[in-house]
Amino acid sequence: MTVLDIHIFTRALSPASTGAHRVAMTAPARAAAADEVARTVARLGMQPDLLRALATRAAAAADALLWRSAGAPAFRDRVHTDAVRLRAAADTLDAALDALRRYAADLPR
Amino acid sequence: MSVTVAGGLDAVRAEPDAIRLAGAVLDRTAAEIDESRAESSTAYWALWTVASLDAGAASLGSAQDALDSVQRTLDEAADDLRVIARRLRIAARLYEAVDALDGGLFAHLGAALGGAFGPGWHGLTKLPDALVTGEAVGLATGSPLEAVDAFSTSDPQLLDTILDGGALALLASATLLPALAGVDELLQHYFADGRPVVTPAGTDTAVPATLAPRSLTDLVDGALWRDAHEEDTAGVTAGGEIDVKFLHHADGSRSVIVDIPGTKDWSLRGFDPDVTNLASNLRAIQGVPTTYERGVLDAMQRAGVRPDDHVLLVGHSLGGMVAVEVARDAVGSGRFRVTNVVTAGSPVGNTVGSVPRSVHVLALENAEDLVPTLDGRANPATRNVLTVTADIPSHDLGTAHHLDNAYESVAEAAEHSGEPAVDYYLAGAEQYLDADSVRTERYVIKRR
Repeated sequence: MTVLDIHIFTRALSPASTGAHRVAMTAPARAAAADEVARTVARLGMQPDLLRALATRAAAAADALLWRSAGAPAFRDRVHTDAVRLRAAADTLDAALDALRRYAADLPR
Repeated sequence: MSVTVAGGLDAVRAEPDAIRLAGAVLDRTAAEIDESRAESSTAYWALWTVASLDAGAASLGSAQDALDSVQRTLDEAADDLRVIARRLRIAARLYEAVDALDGGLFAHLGAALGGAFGPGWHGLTKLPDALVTGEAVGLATGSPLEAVDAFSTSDPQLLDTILDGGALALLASATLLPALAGVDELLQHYFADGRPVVTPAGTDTAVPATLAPRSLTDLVDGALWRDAHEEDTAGVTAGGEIDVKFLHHADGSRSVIVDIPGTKDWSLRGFDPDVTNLASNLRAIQGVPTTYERGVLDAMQRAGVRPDDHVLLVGHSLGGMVAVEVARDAVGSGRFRVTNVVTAGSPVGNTVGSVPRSVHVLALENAEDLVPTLDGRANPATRNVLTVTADIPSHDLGTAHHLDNAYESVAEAAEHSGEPAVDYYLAGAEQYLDADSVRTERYVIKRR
């Protein structure tokens, strides 16, 4: 039974499963959910560090550039702003991963 | 390669290779951000599946919200880094172009601008940064009009300066046109005009080239066809291809239409085999004979146009300026019998008055198009020069100048205007609008 099959099955059994109420999952559904979350955590696990590295690289490229013109400071500022964005995205991803790990840990066994 | 750009360029110092390298780093960074974004997107949908099983799990919901936010952030950051990378590439090209120019060119232009607009003129010294900030310059995009749009939004102060100086031309050419006061010397020493090499490119058998025009809009469409298909049909670099169309009538007579496209190359190269380049613009706007004009005359002769054939010249932008030159010189010398000229978006205010009175000129102008104003002078309103201006809403200056976006509509508005002067002009051009068949011969004009 795939996750999608389980989804269809549980929907058919209980309309509440698509609403705000958490429904009791069957054992296979719990296992499927845990697997899916584990895969997601693994997939995203390296992304925060990667994004921080990309932010550092972009900022370094802007800083290392010899380009004295009136527009250059604004250019560097803009790259640094993007670097800050990337680091913020990395922090957000970290938070998401923590939430997923908590979810997986809380799944009824 | 390393260059130093100084003096008239406000002591800007730049290393194009370093600029280009930084652009490449940012582009690569953007690509890797895209990959990360794809991962988060996949994860988002995987969580959606789990959440549908377990809708009440708050931690799932918060993780999904976080991934949603991350995707937006990554999209924005990647897009922005790509924009910056593009600006850097443009900047590198600009600095290299400046480096490649004759050392005295900018000093010369600075002097010319100073003379024209007084010591308060600072436009030129601000120009390089403005070009970069505007991320569009003729050198890089091939379209100075894109540069104008960028100027107007990114550096209003520069725009005001230039407008106050009456030098719209500087914007439109991105570099040189406002220096008309000193341009003769520039043309002589830097932009040599050379001589034309005309090569037959065969008969155009595509359907649009075989249709006899029936209206003013059809005439503009004919010029558009040649303009849009130069590269495909010539098999060589675009620019410099013209049509010589023989119109055959029911009574056995014939007449000729010559389509003359506009600028294809805005580069600052001193010598350029493309006759539709900046050098031709700088000459034609002043009425100085050009290689492009001589090439058109040679092509007409090679095509077999006879001195007694009636000829209509249709030109867009630079092509219109050249059409006016051809009409002036061909009729003046008796070489060809040009009876009509149609220009679209051409700054002919300085030159069209020199056309013999036997030549009837219809100048189509879009009120939102900057190019026809580059001569800084309205067309003379004489018996044989009719200017029709229509206001065609255009979302930017580039499309305001295009044949298909703007000038087809101007032509349509003109012929349906009911204006007696337009009706009179079209009645006089009837021989070009009632042919039974058309044969279109293509010629490529290059500069040597």
